Amino acid sequence: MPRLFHLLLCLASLVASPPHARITRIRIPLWLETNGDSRDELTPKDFSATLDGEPARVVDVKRPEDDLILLLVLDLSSGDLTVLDPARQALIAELRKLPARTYVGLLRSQDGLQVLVDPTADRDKIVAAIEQQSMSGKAGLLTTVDVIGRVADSMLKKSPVRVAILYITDGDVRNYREDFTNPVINSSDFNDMSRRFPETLVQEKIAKLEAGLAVQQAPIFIAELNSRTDRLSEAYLNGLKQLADTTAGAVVFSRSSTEIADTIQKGFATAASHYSLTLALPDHVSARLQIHITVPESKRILSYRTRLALHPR
Amino acid sequence: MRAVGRSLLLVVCAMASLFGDGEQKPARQPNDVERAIEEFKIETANLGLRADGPRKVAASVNPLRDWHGRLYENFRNDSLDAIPHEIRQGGGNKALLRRNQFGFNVAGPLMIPKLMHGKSGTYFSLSYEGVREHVSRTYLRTIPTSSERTGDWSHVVDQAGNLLTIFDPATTRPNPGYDASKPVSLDNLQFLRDAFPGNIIPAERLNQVAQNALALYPQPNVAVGPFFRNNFFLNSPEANTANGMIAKLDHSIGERQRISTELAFSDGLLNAANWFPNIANPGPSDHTFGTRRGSLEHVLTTSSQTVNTATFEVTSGSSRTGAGDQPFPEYQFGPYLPMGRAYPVSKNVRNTYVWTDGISVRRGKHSLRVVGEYVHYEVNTFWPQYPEGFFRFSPGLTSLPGIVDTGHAFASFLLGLPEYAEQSFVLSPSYFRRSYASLSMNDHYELRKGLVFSIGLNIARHTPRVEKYDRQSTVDLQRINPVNGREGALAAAGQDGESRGFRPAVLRLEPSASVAWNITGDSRTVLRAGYSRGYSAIPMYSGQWGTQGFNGYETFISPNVQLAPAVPLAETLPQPVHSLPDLRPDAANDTIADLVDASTREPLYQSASLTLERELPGSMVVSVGAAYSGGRNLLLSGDAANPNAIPPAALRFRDKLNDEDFNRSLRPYPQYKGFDLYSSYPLGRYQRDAGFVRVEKRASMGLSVSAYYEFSKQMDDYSGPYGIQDFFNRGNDWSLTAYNQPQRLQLSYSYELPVGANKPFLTFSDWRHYFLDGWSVSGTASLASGTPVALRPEFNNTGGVITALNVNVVPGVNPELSNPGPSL
Repeated sequence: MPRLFHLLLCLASLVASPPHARITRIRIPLWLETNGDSRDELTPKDFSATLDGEPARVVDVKRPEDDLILLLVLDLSSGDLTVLDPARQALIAELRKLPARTYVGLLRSQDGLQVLVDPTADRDKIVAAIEQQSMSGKAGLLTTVDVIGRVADSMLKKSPVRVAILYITDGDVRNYREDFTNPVINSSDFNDMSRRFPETLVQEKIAKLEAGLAVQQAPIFIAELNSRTDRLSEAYLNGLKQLADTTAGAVVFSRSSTEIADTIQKGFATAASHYSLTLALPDHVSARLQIHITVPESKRILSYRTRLALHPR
Repeated sequence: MRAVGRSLLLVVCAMASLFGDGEQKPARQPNDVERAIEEFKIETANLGLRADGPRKVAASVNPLRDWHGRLYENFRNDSLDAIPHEIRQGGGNKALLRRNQFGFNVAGPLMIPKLMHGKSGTYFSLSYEGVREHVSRTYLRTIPTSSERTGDWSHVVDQAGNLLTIFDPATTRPNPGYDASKPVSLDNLQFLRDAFPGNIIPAERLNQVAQNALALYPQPNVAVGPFFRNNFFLNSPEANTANGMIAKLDHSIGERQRISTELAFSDGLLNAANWFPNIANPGPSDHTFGTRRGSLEHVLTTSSQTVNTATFEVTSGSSRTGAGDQPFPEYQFGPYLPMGRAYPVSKNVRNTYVWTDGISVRRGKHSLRVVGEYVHYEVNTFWPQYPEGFFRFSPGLTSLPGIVDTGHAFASFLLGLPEYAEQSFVLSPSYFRRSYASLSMNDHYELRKGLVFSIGLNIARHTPRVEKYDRQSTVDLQRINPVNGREGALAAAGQDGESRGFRPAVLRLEPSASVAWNITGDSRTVLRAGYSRGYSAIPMYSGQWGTQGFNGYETFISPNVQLAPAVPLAETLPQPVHSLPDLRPDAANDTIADLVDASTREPLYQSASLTLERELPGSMVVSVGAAYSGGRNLLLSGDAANPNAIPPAALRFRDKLNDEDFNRSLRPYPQYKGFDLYSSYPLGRYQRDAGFVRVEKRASMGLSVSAYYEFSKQMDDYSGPYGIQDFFNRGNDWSLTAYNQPQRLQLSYSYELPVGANKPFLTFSDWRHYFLDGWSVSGTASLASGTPVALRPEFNNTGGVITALNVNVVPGVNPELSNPGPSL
């Protein structure tokens, strides 16, 4: 009988899947600065939240000490050992330092997104996979960030555990398979004005990705290890920051090889230190939520995601 | 697709439980982490991201799903233009503008039906762009009036509005009353000459060749004035057609190897605006362009510590003008529009072959990189300047000798009396070659956390320019000229002990070093310092400089531009006495000879910098630094370097310097009028010191800003701007660079407007989002202080000893300007 019931349940889920299931809860990443407040265990009752100005119930709070699944995505495509080797060493060091309740899934985005190791608490397995990876190819962050975002979103919807995405990238905007550089094709066309703003293509791509990430709830963190200062790269790096900001994540930039270890350390620390609040949606809210969260009777400074789209456009 | 995949997986799970062995085991409820991990596995399997999952199945459903691309059209058209009010008031209309720039880009996994299924790890990118453009070009010029063309100058006035008298050169005679101790004036004429009666040149005196040419010269079509000037308005269409394509392919061979290739071509045709609708058109020729590029790169990662990258690249660029044009000489009679043009036919091709191999190895705290490179350059050029002849006319022969505002160049043309004529004889194209080889080693050493040194050394070998068939020459400054027994004679490549390139191949050591130090122990503050030193080879230009003797130009110069023509105007110029190739040591005498520098000097550049970077809150980075750069042996042209200059001490000879023979006798190489250095003489020096502040703010709240301010001072001994004064003591010309701009501020910003998707205002999901999403404002601004004021005297009576005279500081007058504005 239980098996039959299981089958019926499966069939029912197959038939009744609506195109957009009604969302009743959302997950918001949040950071707290202590600012003299010594209380370290905040409960849902300590938070006050509104969505589009409507009071929203805080259903659950996951703290930095709680379980975290960190999806670590390697986008190391330059082949430059002066970047890659310090990055590899720093990654291994940070993995060794992670708390036991952090589970790391390892993926690779250069030359297409691929799972290398499923989320696990086994550090040796992750370290071995990192050491075996060849780190050259075509950059992949812009072509994979929405895909991994969807995966993380599904995990958040299935489980109250904290989930975060951390990209480790040294990608050059010129090293994508999709051409964002808009190169001059006809050098004899002296009246070409269309290439006076070479950053247009990458900005268009970022805008599209932003719209997609607006509905995803997992924060995205990016440790960028090879910052360049030309005009196109500036637009690319600004775009990465926009993408991370959209999900309330963060980007850490490394301007030289001396900063790589610190950059990766900051990336891990910021990803691991986030709270995850589950809010119940009030009955009447717009599809583009404005979020406001406070901790009454506390001096703590909050930073959190302030906007979230409930459905893709 | 995702929903279906998930449901299928659930069905499979359910079927397994339904038809399983039926053994009941107590099921442990998965915890939160396990549920999330299970979801991760399901999702990544559905997306085909797992090596152990249904990747192939998912991919085979729709192999084109990973293709992406764009289609575009950049449209410019005069229908979008407004008519400026002054044009509208004048009854005019818009200028023609039709421009369509269109193309596409498509990229993705390579799929060829029945051959490649899109899953072989091969990716392609294909871009095409075409341009179709028609633009009108407008010009307002001055041409002779109908009367002038027939010899009637009775109405012609000078710039002051006074009658411009045309004198008959056939009546020239010495003035018996001339007083040589006084300057020439109307009261003290050296030569007497009668004006044409009525200021009209008789029809029988008009040169027939000139008259034949004038049949191709247009008549005035407007009367803008003043004084009959600005009487030819031209509105001629220019067409630009181009087609180009870039194809890229990359393929991964396992995890360790990657091959990529790129092929590109572009063909362009510029139909230049015609000034005249016939062979006498003085405007530019039609121009065809072609570029071809191919590259192949192989990356081999032998281990996580060793990467080898090998590349081979070939580029070719060609340009061609005047193909199919009928020959016509150039007649120059300023200020009127000339007839014909220089370089009417040309064909140039530049090919470059580059092979590079670089290997990177990590050993402990050292990252070593060794790169070998070999580059072969080819320039094939055919570029005769005046194959049909060149005739320049001046007012001198129709003037009253020694008196300004008399005579006219066009009147001299009508009489067939040029002051200068030249014809180029280019028998064959030149095929120039040179090469560059280098081996560079760089060690990136991390002494400790936050302190990294980088030391590099590049060993480079430059070969001089050679010609494939040794058809190049120079003036050998050590060889004795048989005509006057002085040093300096024509020498041909590979003959009489000369090397093929006239200068040796050279080996250069180019060191570099840098350090990056996190002085506060964190990454917020970084101190950087760097130094580098390098040489650049003397480049090869298009053009047939340095082939004198194999090619030639016959020149005809008036012995006195006011008294005698260079040669009578005729259909053809007299042919050279010596046939080509003419490699006699004195074959280049009495010309401006091509001089190839035979030393081992090459441009040397050095730079050093010190920068302190500090990361501030709000995604802001501030950099403060100082930079030095300097160079010597920079390549100069004839106005900044002149090995055949007359020493300034010769100014003591005063008016005697105006005597051409005496003047020439003072030159180090008197058998030559001068040297053509073709911007390739290595003698210049410069130094630039700068301090700068840079502020970068990455995007937050939609705003990103970058600001750069620099204060600098650049000095050199060559930039002029009118040339240098003392070729023998270059230190006297060490001064502010002509384009030195001591202060410079650059700003760039981008602000995403707070409207549309994921923004606080005007967020819509319906059709309105197409109009409101993605708006941003961005811009750049640049402010700079002005360049130095350069003064030169209008009057230069140094007999050509000093071509760029500086003005003297007047005692008691402050040379610093208190208000250096345009009103000065």
